[in-house]
Amino acid sequence: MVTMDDSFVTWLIDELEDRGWSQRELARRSGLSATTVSQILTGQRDVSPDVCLDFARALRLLPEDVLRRAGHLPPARDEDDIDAEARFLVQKLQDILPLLPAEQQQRVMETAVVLAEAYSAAAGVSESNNGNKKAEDVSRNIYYTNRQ
Amino acid sequence: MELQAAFVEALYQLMRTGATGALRDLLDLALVALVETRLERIFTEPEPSLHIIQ
Repeated sequence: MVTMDDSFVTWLIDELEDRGWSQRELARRSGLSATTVSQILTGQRDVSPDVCLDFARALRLLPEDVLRRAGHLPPARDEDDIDAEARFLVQKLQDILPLLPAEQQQRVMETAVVLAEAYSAAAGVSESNNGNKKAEDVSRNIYYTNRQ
Repeated sequence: MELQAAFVEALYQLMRTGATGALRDLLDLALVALVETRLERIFTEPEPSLHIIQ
């Protein structure tokens, strides 16, 4: 059964070639079996969100970029529209998270989820310029509550 | 793994909406946790014996 979009496979092969990696190397770095990687690269196997996260970690790419390539997230706006600082911060978070003990990783991940929900909710409260300020205030309250 | 997927989605959402304040807070939280972890390790590891130093 061929379910994977060819463009994802083409993109993944390009990424491997850029790094000079073999399929086996990708398998080793992503923690997947060589068979699974081979099936993905030959279009015989679909790429689940979990596998996307494994690839993102192995390739040191933003998870959302890989998820988007695989069609698990909607297409992005222009790269220029995405705030460069936000991308930088996300990349740093991605770098630091694996260095934390599991319990701390969970705390950071849970906080991120709550912050995203709070930010969306608060931003929707008002369409005025106060919306973002209110969202920031909400996020800070949650953040400091989590630290205690 | 559900939490990890939710985390990725949350980061994506914060990034797309340009919520840099929230992202900075998150990074701050992770950095503080990292420092706390390192400090805890330093203070809980037994001090080297004198004969090892010598």
